[in-house]
Amino acid sequence: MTTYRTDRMSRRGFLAGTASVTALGMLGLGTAACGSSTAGGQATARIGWVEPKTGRLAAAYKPIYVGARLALENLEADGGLLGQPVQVTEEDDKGSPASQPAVAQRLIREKPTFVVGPTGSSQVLASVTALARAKLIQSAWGGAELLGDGDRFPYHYQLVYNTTQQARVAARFLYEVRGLRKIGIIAENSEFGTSIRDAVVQTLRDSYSAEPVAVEVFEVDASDMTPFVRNLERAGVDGLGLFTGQPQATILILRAMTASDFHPVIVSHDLNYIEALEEFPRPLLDGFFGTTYRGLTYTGDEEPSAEVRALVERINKHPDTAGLGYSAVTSPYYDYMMLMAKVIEETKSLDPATLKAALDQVDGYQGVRAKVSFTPKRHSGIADEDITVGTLMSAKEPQSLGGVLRRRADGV
Amino acid sequence: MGCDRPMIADILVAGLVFGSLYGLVAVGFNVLHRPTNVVNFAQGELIMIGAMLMAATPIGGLPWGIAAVCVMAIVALVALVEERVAVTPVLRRSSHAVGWVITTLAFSLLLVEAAGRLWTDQPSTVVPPWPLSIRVHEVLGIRFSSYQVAVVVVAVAVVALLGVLDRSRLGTALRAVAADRDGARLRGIDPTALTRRSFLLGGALAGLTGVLAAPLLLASVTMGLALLIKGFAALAVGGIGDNRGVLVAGWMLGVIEAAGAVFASPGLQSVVLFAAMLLILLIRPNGLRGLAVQRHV
Repeated sequence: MTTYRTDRMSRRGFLAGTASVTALGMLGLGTAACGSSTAGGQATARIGWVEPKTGRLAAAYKPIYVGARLALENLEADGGLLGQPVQVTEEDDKGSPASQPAVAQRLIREKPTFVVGPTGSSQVLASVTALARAKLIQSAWGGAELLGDGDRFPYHYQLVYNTTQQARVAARFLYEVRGLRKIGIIAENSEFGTSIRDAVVQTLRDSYSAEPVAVEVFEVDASDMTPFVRNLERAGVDGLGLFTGQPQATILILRAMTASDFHPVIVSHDLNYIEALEEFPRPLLDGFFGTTYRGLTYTGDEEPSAEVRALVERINKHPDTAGLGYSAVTSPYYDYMMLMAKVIEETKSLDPATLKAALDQVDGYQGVRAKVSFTPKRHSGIADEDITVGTLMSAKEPQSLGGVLRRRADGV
Repeated sequence: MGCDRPMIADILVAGLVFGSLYGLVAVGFNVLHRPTNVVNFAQGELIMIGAMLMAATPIGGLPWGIAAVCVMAIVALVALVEERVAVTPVLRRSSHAVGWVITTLAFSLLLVEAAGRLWTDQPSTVVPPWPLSIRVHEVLGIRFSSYQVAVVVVAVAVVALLGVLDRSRLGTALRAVAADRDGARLRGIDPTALTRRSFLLGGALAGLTGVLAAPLLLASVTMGLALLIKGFAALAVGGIGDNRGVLVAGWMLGVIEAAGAVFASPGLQSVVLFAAMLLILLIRPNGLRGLAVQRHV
C-alpha cells in the first residue's frame, strides 16, 4: 500500500499535529525526524514528488506523471520497497522556477529516499541547484546538457536525452539522411530554444562543415509567425529544425507555412499529435518529423517490445493521460522509478550514498524507452543510439496504439 | 535587410489584424475604467476564458452566432462576479482606493487556476463562421484572409457603437461617475449600478475579443497574459478613456511589432514594441489624441 501526503494542511490538522507532537515530546516518545522513517524497525522508502498541482498549466503536466503513477502501482503490487509500503510526499511547484527553492526546503526537511521531478528546463535548473547541497537523489525532466554533469550535480540523474543529443540527431537527419543542404532553424527565445539552436549550428559546422542558411528566433508570445516563415522561405530553406516548447507556436508556424505554400522537411523535438493539426494539408504534415526514443518506435519489420505495448495500454487507460499519451510515454519517470526500485532492492539500502554509488555503476539498464547507463561523471543516461527520428503522422496509424508510439523515419 | 512591397503588405496586414485585437483589449479596459477608475488586470484572463469556452466546450458546437452570444453572456457573468467580489468592496471603502490593483490581479489568478484545472496547454483551433475563412488570398500582392478583414471591421464597429453609447444619457452618466463618483451620486446617479453594467459590458467585450482571437491566435490557457500586456500598451499609448485613440494605438503597436520582427531581430519584437511605446509616451504623455484629461460632464 502506498501512503500519500501532500503539502497542504488544514488549520485543524496543524493544531492536532502540534498537540500530538507536544504530547509525544512530553512523554519522551518523540524521535528525531531524520533519515528514512521506520515501521516496526524496517526502513520505509519515501518518495519526494514534485508536480504542478495548481497554476495555469496544472492539467497540462498531469500526463507527464502518469508513468510515475503506474510505476508506483507496480511497486505497490510488489509489496512496496524492501517489503514496506512506499510513502509519497507530493509537493506542488506550480510549474514555476520561482517555487523551487521553497519546494526544495520542504524536501530537505522531509529527506525522501529519492525525488521525482520537477518538469521543465527552467524549473529543473532551479530545483537541482537548491537540492544539490542536500544530497538528495533526484531525476527531473530537463534537457539541458549540464543537468547530466555528474561533477556539477552529483545527485541528479538525467533519464532524458539532452539538447545536444537531440540537436545531433536532428542535424544528421536533415543533412545526412534526407540529403538537404539548405537547412534553416526556427527556435523560441528561451533557454531551451537557445541551447538547441546553438547545438544544431555547432553540429552542422563540426560534422558537415555546413552553416544554416537562416536562423529565426521568435518570442514565445509572438502573435504572428509570418515574418519568420517568410524569411525562411526567402532563404530557400528545404530542411527546417523547429524547436519550441509552445504547441501554439508550432501551429502558428505551420499556418504561416500553409499560407505561403512553403513545405520544407521539418524536424522538431515534439511529436505530440494534437487536434489543432487537423487543419493542415497532409503533404506538410507528412514532412514533419521529430526526435524520439528508439524503444517507442516501430518499423515495417520491427515492433516495440511487449513491455512497451503493455505500458502504453495502461497509459491509455489512465484518467490523467487526457489524450496526451505521447507525453506520458516519453516522460522519464516510469523508467526512473523502476530503476530506483531495482537499485534499492539490490543494495537493500535506502541510504543516499549507497544508492548513489549503485546508480553511478548502472550499465545498460533496459528501460521501456531506452537503455540507461551512468558513470560517476556522466549522469546523462540515454545512449546516443537509442535516440531516433519518428514521423508525426504515424500517430494516426493503428500500430501507434492510439497515437502513443511513432513510426521510425525511413533511413534512420 | 532588404524590403519589398509584399513585405510591407505583410507588416501592414499583421499590424492591422493583431492591432485590432490589442485595441479591443484596450477598449475593454476603457469600458470598465469609466465608472470605476479601475484598470481590470483580469481582462486578459477573461479573454482567455472566452476563447477557451468557444474552443473547448460544447458551446463551440453551436451555430457560431449563438455560441458567440453564449460566450459573451458567460464571460459577462464572470466579470460581474469579479465586480461583486473584487471591485465593489474596495470602492465601497473609498472611491479613490487602489486596492483593486491587487484584488483584480487576485481574481485573474483565480481564473488562471480554474483554467489550469480544466484544460491542458494544448492549443485549440476555432473555425471562423461561414463564409469567413483563414485561407489566405492574394490581391494586388497583399495577402490576407476574409476572417482577418472581419476582425478589423468588428473592432471598428465596436468602437463606433461605443461612440454612440458615449453620446447617450447612459454615456453622460458614466462620464459623470468617472469625474466624481460622490458628486454623481448627489445628482441621483447610482454609481454602483453603473459599475455593474460596465462590468457586464466589459465582460461581454472580453468574451467577444476571445471569440475573435481564437481562430487567429488559437485558444489556449496561456493566451491571456500576452493580450493583457499588449492591450495595456495600446491603452497607455491611445489614452485612457479614448476608444478611438486606443484602437489606433493598437494598430500602431501591431504594425511596429510586425515591423520589428522583419527589420530588427525577430527575437526583439517586444523590445522594439515597448521602446516605441515609451517614445510615443514621451512625446504624447496623454495618449495619441491627448484626450485623457478632458472630461465633459
